[in-house]
Amino acid sequence: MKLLLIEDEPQMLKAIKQYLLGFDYVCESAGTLPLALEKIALYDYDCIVVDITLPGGSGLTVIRAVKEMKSTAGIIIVTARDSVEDKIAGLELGADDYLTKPFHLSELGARIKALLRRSQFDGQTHYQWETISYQTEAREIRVNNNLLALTGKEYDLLVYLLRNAGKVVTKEAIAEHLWGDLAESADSFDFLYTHIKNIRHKIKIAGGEDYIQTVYRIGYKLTAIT
Amino acid sequence: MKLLTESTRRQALLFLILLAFAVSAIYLILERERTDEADEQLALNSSRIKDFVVKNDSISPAVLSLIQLRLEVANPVDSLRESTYADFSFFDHGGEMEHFHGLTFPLKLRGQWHLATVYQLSVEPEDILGPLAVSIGFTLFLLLLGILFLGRWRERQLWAPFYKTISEIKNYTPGLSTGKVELAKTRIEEFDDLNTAITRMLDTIAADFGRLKAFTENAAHEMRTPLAVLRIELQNLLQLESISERVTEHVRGALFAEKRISTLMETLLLLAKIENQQYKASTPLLVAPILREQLDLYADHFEAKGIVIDVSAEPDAAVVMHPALLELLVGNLFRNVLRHSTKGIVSVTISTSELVVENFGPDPGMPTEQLFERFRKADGTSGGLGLGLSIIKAIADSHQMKVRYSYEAGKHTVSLQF
Repeated sequence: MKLLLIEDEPQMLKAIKQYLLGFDYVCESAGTLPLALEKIALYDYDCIVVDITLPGGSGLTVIRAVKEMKSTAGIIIVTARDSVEDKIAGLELGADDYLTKPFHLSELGARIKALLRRSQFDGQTHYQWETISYQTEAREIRVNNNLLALTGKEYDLLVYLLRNAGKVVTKEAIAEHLWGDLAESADSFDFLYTHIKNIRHKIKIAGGEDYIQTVYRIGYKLTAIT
Repeated sequence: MKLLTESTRRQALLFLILLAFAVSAIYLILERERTDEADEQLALNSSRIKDFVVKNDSISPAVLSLIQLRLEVANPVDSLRESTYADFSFFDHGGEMEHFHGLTFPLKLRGQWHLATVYQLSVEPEDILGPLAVSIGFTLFLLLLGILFLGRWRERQLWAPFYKTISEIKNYTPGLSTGKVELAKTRIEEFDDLNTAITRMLDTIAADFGRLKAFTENAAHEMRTPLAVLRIELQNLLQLESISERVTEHVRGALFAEKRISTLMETLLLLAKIENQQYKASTPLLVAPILREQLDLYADHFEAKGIVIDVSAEPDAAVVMHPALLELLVGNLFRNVLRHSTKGIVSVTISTSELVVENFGPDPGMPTEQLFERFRKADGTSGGLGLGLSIIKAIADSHQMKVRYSYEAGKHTVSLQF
């Protein structure tokens, strides 16, 4: 799977690449608008992460160019300008998602993965990790083909972890993903703990391994049992 | 009071005083004229009597039929008395009190000094002078009234450019009004000076406003990127296999501070955007669905705190507001409830005219309206930034809604009038 990161801040670029390294993506990058346009003309990408404010022009130009080529690449806008107009303009041009800086890496990871599924199977979203499989339309997760009886929040949480499998996902990132602005509330972490406990239990009943590894005081990590 | 009203009022007052003086003067002059006339007549009569008496030493009835005369026997000393005019009154034959004007003079008749008084019925001033003064006064009054209205009309013409300037300024809102305020040239120098000064002032305001907006946007862009790098780098650090527990602890602390800065910046930017009216909406939005959506989001949290939300919502209550703002408004109200409410029932009422949230909680310990100020917190230890109510107020203000917060005997009430 091929990914193009269009971002003018070298450090940001490096750090995102670093995070995505663990997933089996081929990551390419472009720091300027002309370079980005050149790359999308030359190669086919599955997903493009684009910053709106770029030296030499707007990232919206990239989206327009991608759409003109009838490319199926998923597009995520990453921007420091949190304006409603920008968001609407980007999504109207055909971007699939919109993320405002600063964001959690796991959030970007999850969104990229969600897009890749979408574009690869033309909407048929079926995903497999170890013994776990999930379908986003039906909002179903199976372990060893046994359906897990998950609540809405538990489902969202597990999918988030699955999409960042092998990475440490901080409690803050999960809380923000699940509750948005309420993540700061002290209770959120308690709920998180309860949800994780329930998920572990449900996976175990379904015959799965204890994939969820607790990273002391930081968060959780989905690890394959070897 | 309006300028023209005030000016007319003063002029009218002046005119009334003038009118009073004029009418009094007319009255006095006429009165004097009349008395002089009467005195002359009496003097003439008295000299006729004197002449007659000197010639005949008697008074004939023929004279008495023409002249009203009264004789009193007097001492010889009175012969030295000057002739004096006097007013007096007595009852006439019909028993009616009549007023007379008379001239008393000494008269020697058949060797005996008398005091003779020639008199005539005096015309009461009210009888003639009154109507005369009133008619003159009324004419004057009409004339002054005409001058007054003419003056008002003239002043209105004169001040027209001034009123035009006022209405132009009234319609101007920095950041919202498009284009420059054009104040037309007048023929009056002072008004032109005023308009020039105002135009210059408004231009400065518009420029400052533009700069502030640009600063807000730049600050957002320039700060978000380094913050994003900071967060990503720290998170990458946590991904390292070899990271020790001690380092983890430090990274956690740094991430916590980063999160706080980000939230603070986002919130301040949000406030600036709301105040700059950057969220525009023109269609009414139903309140109830957004309320339920937010309620679902926080359901876990409410349940954990033992809070039961009692919603009574009118299904077609709607406000003209950007969906993101309404979400923010409702979310902030709920977060406040969560943070400050003790166990129990929280009632949320939506009608077509207002949204009311009532919950029980500890005394905020300060006047409730102060809590709308930024960074004001009733409880210093709570994790919030102290911007929640400021956001609610900013949203309300930018939509011309009234927001009220009252606390009474453990009960907090926040209400929003649509």
